[in-house]
Amino acid sequence: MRNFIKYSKLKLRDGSESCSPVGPDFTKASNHTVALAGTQLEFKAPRHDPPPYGKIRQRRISNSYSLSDARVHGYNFQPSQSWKTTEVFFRDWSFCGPWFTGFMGDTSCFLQVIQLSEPDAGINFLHPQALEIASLAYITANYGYRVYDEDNGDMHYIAPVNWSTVSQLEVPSVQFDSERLMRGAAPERHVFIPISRSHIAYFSLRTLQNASGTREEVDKKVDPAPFKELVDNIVGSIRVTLSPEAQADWDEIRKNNPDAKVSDTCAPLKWPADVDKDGLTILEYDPKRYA
Amino acid sequence: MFSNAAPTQDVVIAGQHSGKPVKITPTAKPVYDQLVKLARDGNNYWAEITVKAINELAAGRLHQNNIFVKPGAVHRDGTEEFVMILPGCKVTCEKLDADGFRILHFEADIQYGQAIASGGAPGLYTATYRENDTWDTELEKRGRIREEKNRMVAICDSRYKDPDRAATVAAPRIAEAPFSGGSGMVNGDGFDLHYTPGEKKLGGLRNYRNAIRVNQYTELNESALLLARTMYQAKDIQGVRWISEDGGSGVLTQAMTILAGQGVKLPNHKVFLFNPTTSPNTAVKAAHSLQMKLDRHFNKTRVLNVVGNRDQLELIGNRWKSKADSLTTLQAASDIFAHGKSMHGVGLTMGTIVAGAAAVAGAGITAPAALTAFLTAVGGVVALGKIAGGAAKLGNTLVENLLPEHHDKLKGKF
Repeated sequence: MRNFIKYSKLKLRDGSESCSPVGPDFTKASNHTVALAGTQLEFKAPRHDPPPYGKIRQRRISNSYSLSDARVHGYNFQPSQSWKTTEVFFRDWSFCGPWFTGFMGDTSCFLQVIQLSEPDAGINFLHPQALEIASLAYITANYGYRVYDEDNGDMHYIAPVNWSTVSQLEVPSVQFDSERLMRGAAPERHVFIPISRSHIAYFSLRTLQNASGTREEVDKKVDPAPFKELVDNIVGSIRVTLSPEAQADWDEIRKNNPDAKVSDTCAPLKWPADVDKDGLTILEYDPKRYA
Repeated sequence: MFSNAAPTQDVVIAGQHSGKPVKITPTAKPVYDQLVKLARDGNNYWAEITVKAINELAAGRLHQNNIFVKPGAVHRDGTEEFVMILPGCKVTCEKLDADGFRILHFEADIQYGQAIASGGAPGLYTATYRENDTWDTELEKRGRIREEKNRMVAICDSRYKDPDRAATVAAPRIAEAPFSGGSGMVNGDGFDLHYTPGEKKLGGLRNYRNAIRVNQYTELNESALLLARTMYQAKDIQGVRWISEDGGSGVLTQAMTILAGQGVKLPNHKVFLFNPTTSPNTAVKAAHSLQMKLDRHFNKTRVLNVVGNRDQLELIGNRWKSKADSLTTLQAASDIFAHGKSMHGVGLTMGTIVAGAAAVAGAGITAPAALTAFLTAVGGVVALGKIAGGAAKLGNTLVENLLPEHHDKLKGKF
């Protein structure tokens, strides 16, 4: 109750030069469970609390998902349109400064199921290497073409940064950040977890601090640590129970290749780059390819 | 060291051969040189604008109603000081007796390029729809809109800390423009965003003076100049739609006024104001002189928006009178009536509705402002098919019930 008053979106005065904002109380976050392609996915998320800018609505988990009805991404967002998505869950949480210094930023969490637009029977996302290729290709399809300066190849985004796996999961998983190279970093955590041979559960948790300037200036004005803590908490609460078929697949992969695992490190990709229509092959950047 | 010329001599930087000479004091010269260097390197469009504007002083483009000019002190000897606010720099000039100019002082920000890159200065961004009502924005390096037919460009208010937030707010609003095709189209195609950073809303009742005299709103000069350049460079792209959101109307109005002053025409482009918080009438005048296409509705103004509603009647009148506009008498009458329903307009227009609509329509109804009388009159002259439109907006159902066959005929016209 005290926090509700102390850290409110109401802005009556300018804050000090730097501030460590307070977001939702994760200890009170409720459990969310969803069955996707027979696989049970469980995670914790606080109540929806959108920023005071625009009308950002939450997306609630529904009873069942027909993953065969997935739609392609917009060509404007993903020019290759090589991946399809089923939107599952979306929430946005505001972070506020103390005593009427108002809104300081937000973190959103978006869960979707992604699959290739043109299904490829030869690939099994439960295999760690396949998952790794898929995650890198997917992020390239969405961000690899966003070039700022075509003359010297300056990009708007960089990924993957802070590459790792989701430690509490037995199934293969990949998580990494993408960051903006201009203005504030606007870090976005990407988490890829296979739920069947051809489907990947994909969480994206994006943080946007409410401050302007270079990355150093933004991080000085609004401390990024509380946002990161929420992201880590949510990712840390993910639990997966594979469907019997997926479990059998995964057991077989483990039996045949006991050493198969996701790489320990991965350097940022060399962008600009495009992704082929198959959704997996990274090609050289060509602004006219999908124009 | 190698020159014998006295260093205190003013240097002529423009208008040596023709026009009015523009001189610069030796202390301001190095800053100017640096700007010229940045402008020539081809990567700094803001510096190009600034250098060009200074050179244009020589062409005699400067006059009292030039909107970049903030008049300063008038000296005893008849010379006059004024301030020009340009992207990345503030120039203090003196108008000399002999019809020339002298630049006294430069307050230039050579790091302006970095300020644009970090979102600290106005810039043009490409907005891409992510998902769930949120948007990504990316700075467009050359400050040009995407070369796409019917591209939409939002001009946002200046109360956002980040263009991403501005895009999130602006997107559903530009979807309200009659020619946007709704949010499905806006989300699918994305749009370009002219972003002006700032802490406070532009215009509105709190800045009433600036809101109604929008072309004298000097804080917007910088952003408006950049937008004017963007608009000029987009002039050959077909069907660009410029849509302002709240106080963005001020930036758009100034940009259109700058272009109008330079004789530019944008006949292929459209313009729309969403809830303008600066005078929409000034905007419509500028849009007319650019020969821009205006849709059936020029703006969508919320009922409680005093500034936005203030000169609507004048606006409708201007649109009706203008040859550049396609507003018919019937539509003008309808708009006046619709405006009468808004809070601000209520007291102001009710009395003039009948007389006004009648005068506009030329049907000669002089009955007092009683609504029933007007509607009866409507019934009487409906054969002319003129004023009935005025009634349709207000008493659509009434007309529908009283004159069912005419209702269907009229329906399509609104």
